[in-house]
Amino acid sequence: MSTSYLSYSDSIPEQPNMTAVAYEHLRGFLRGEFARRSETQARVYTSRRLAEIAGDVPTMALALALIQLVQSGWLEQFVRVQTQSGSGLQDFQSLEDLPSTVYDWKETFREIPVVPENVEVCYRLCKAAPQ
Amino acid sequence: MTKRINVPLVHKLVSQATSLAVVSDFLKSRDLPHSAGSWDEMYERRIQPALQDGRLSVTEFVDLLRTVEEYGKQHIFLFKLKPAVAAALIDASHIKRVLASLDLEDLLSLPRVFEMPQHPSFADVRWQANGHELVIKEILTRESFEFAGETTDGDVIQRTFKKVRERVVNVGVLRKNGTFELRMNSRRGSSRYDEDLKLLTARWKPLVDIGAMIPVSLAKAKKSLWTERKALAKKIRYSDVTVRNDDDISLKAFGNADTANVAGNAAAQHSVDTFLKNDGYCDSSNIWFTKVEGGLPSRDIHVVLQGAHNEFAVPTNCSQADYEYVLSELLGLNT
Repeated sequence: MSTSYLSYSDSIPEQPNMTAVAYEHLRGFLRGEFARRSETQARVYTSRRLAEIAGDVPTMALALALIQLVQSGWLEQFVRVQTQSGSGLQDFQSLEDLPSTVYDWKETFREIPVVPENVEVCYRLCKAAPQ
Repeated sequence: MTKRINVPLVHKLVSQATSLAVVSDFLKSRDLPHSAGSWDEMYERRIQPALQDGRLSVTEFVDLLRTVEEYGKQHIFLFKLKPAVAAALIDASHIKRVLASLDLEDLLSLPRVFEMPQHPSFADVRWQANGHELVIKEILTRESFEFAGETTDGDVIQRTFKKVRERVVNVGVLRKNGTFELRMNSRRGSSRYDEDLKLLTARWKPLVDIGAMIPVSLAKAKKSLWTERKALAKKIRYSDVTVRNDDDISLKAFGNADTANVAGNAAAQHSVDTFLKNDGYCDSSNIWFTKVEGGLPSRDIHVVLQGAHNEFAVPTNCSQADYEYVLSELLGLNT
């Protein structure tokens, strides 16, 4: 990479600031979400939904903000295995918990392999707002 | 240019990317003999003689390859950056320095023509629109596995997959106004591009730092496509619409044939509208921009709005004019 390119990149807002912007937008949204949640229904968000709420931030800044929101107890991260058409089948706590196959009870009615193409990282609102 | 470009390979790539009719129209538009019943005949009787006697230049022929392989059958990701930063990145002296550091200076005068390179390779770096746009093209070979058949031996069922190699053309267009459009060749059997995008971002970093750019959400376009469906009825047919809410519930309305129009059905409209009124949002849609006789699009163009929030797909090959029409319509709906 040339030196001149580095100087151009420097004129884009610094990553930590963008992470803070994303974090604040998302935290504001999540605060409101605690009022909406019901006892029986979890509030669940896809990465693209949170990306829209976070506003104009680079992908890396969003990823860092989401890590912070998980660490500070606003969100729980989990992984969802989906059918080929993108409908959820089963949720797992982490990538390490994924089995090699799951039963597709919605579309094909047989065991389907768990591959990166049918796994989506999702988030759910924690049970209580952090203090 | 003639000395360096592998013209038969350009012809082969053109033949893989488009139809004889498109090449015939291209020759016809230049008042050149244009009829041919096969690709061999097209090359031997039409292209080669025209190149030899100078009625067609190699540059024009390479431009044809650019036109036919750079549009359609792609997942498109939209980004933005500060116009001043974009202008600096597009600047010729900057690009020359970067290409020199990568030992790719020759791209400024000639594209490289690859069929299936061993490693991802930049094939073209050029300016267009009077220097307001920088186009970057990369070619790579992608391997995937395709289901080949199933055999049963007693209680054992064996499924066979064969390795398929395909040529991938990825194109990026950086504009001085601060927009960046990345068109990634569609994958076989997968609609997920996260990993491909991550790898491409690393490969392209010396030229454009996609990681520092801001994805342009298409949420407004997805919403407008549905809420303005009556005004758009002559332009767009809706194969399916998926709406979702944060209670983890989705509602999908879909037609059972690609000619069915979800937005033309009162029951489907009512269901989707009711869902949207209760904190729902449009998550994805499958639409068709319908053909306009003598205008654009020149045929029905299928567009899929799903995946990342800044992503849409044009699953089949299309002309540059049709692609630009679709992009302009979506951006218009996204404002």
